[in-house]
Amino acid sequence: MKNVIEVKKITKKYGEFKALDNLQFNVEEGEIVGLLGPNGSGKSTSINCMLSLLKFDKGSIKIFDKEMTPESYETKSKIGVIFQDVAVFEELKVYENIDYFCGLYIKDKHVREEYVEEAIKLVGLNEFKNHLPKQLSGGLLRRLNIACGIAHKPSLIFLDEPTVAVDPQSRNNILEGIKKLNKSGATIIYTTHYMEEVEQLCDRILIIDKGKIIANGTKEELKGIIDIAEKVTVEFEELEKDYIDKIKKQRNVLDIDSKNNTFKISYKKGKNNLVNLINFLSDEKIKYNKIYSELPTLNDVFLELTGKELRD
Amino acid sequence: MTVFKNYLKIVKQFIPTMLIYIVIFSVFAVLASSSNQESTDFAMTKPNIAIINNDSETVFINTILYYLDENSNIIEIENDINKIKDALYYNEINFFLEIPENFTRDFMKGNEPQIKTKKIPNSYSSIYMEMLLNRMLNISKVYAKAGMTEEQIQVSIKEDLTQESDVIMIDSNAPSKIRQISTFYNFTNYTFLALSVSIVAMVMHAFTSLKIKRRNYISSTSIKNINSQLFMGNFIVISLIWLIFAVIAFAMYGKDIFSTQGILFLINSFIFCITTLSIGFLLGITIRSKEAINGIINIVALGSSFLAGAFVPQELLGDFVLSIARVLPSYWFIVNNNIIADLSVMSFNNLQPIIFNIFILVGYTILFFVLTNVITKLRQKSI
Ligand SMILES: Nc1ncnc2c1ncn2[C@@H]1O[C@H](COP(=O)(O)OP(=O)(O)O)[C@@H](O)[C@H]1O
Ligand SMILES: [Mg+2]
Repeated sequence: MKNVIEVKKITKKYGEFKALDNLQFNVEEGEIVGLLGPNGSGKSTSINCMLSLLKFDKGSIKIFDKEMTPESYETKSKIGVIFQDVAVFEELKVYENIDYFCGLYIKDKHVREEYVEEAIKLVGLNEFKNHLPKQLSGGLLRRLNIACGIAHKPSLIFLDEPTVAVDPQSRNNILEGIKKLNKSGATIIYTTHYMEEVEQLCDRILIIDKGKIIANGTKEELKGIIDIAEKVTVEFEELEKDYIDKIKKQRNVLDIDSKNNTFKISYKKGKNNLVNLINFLSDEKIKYNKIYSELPTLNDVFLELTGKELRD
Repeated sequence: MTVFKNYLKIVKQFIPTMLIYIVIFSVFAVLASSSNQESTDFAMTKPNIAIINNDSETVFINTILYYLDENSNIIEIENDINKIKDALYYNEINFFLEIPENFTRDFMKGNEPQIKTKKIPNSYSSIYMEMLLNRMLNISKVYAKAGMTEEQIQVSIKEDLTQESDVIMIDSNAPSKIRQISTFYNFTNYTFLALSVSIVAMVMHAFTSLKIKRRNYISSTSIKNINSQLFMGNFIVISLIWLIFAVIAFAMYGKDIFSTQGILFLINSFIFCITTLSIGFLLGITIRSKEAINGIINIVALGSSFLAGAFVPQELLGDFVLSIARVLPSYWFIVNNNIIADLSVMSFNNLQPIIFNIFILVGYTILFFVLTNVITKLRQKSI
């Protein structure tokens, strides 16, 4: 597969502060790549650099094999961007807004009409064509924002946190829409600080922190790089002081996080961890209300790599 | 043309506001200009004038006094600017002139010393007096250039006087019509500012808000192209507003709008419209909040209209107010309207001050565009 984006050792400083620090990654044609990182980690800054909206201090960016500059109109014609903040004309109706932004790329009126209709269908705004933005709910507004960014059928799409503060219905609609765009051939870069979204959506995940890529791979690969393989949660009927020491001695146990009557027990790789624990508890006649096992999340990956939570 | 079409779509939303402005304005302008119509018995009574002479009593000064005395009643008055203003205001005098020191000497040398005059705005007899004075001075100038002495000029002027008296009266109706048009255009200062500036500012604000600008910027249409379409939109809207008022002027004052003076009004107001475009540009692009823009436009439109004499004739405003008003483009627009209204003879010399004032307006326009550019550049650096 050929690279659609090649980011090489980008450094971007705001004054003395390094927002991007030797950032480097590639995006291949047809991928959905998730850029996952907490607020302030440099996701928007890196997107703005890739789009030549921001000048950077060092490094180079190639898109479709060409150096990206503010004058790369040929390249720009193949790119669609959905920014973090909704950017539409308050004065224009839903249809007119999409038509305007599409018109910056597509000059032919008939083709444009078709494209705008398709975009409206994709984000599910059929009933709202003649509404003004201020008459739309937050979720619908986000969908309009997306339609404005993709109506011209770009083959490379950047989405910067498109689901922040969006109701679940709109969120699903948005994620489904992105999958559809990808199926029809578009390469997608998706930034977010929600790990569930990248797990659900992305072929490959780049974890970014303090302007650096600290991990890169599929979700399975990423989870493979950490020691935790399983997490078991137990809620005891009554907690005794010696439980923690007893359980710590069990096989494969890495760590215990206790809160009130509940233990979250991290295990490293190994077989029958849950079964062993259940057997141990019944041998010791320890009563519990709930017990269940989970696989580690990307938050665990992030926690192990940086020592802090993805969401603060 | 997407940007341009979109521009018009946004402007369409201003049409109701525009109509309200235009209707209200037209009613006011018509009321104001018709109340200024001078009574028709101007020819019956000689106007009252006051003179302060700072030159010595030369033969030429005596010629001027003699000439003025033939055409008016000279009233004694104290040399106090406030008393003189009051006298003008209460119609005790129709015209006031102050002859500067060494006037005769400079005049005979061929220089152009200025006689300071004050008159009642929109009053026919005042304008009549000014016309007479200018006429007499122009003729004397020709004589002086021809090498005549003061005494010779006196003789010739006295001879001329006996022949001419009714020549000037021919266009007795015109001044009041032209006056009305100038009052009308002085009023447009408010409308042009309120209307053009707010439309241009609001549309520019919409297009250059950071978020929209980003979208425009990443598109495959160049910023240059987008900007030139925006400029075309602005220009067409401004021209349209100008045209609407030209049509209203035509509807109210008829073919006088196509007289030389009428056309000068049209040119002057068009230039001013371009200046309002640049003001709208500056506000719309550099100020981020719509509320702030609207607030500033209200202050600018009303404030400049009062300070620069759009609603009240400039002659009635204090010198202090007028000296402040000089920093406003409106001042030069209105001054020009007044000069055009007083124009009696078309000559390059008479047109010169009008052209000069138009240059000032053009200067302001350039200044506002440059300022907009500088501020945008500074902002870009800080982002
Ligand atoms: N214009 C700016 N000036 C100074 N610092 C900035 C500016 N924009 C962003 N930053 C800083 O750069 C870092 C990365 O910001 P950003 O790329 O917006 O993060 P993200 O999109 O991942 O939340 C943050 O610490 C932010 O405070
Ligand atoms: Mg961001």
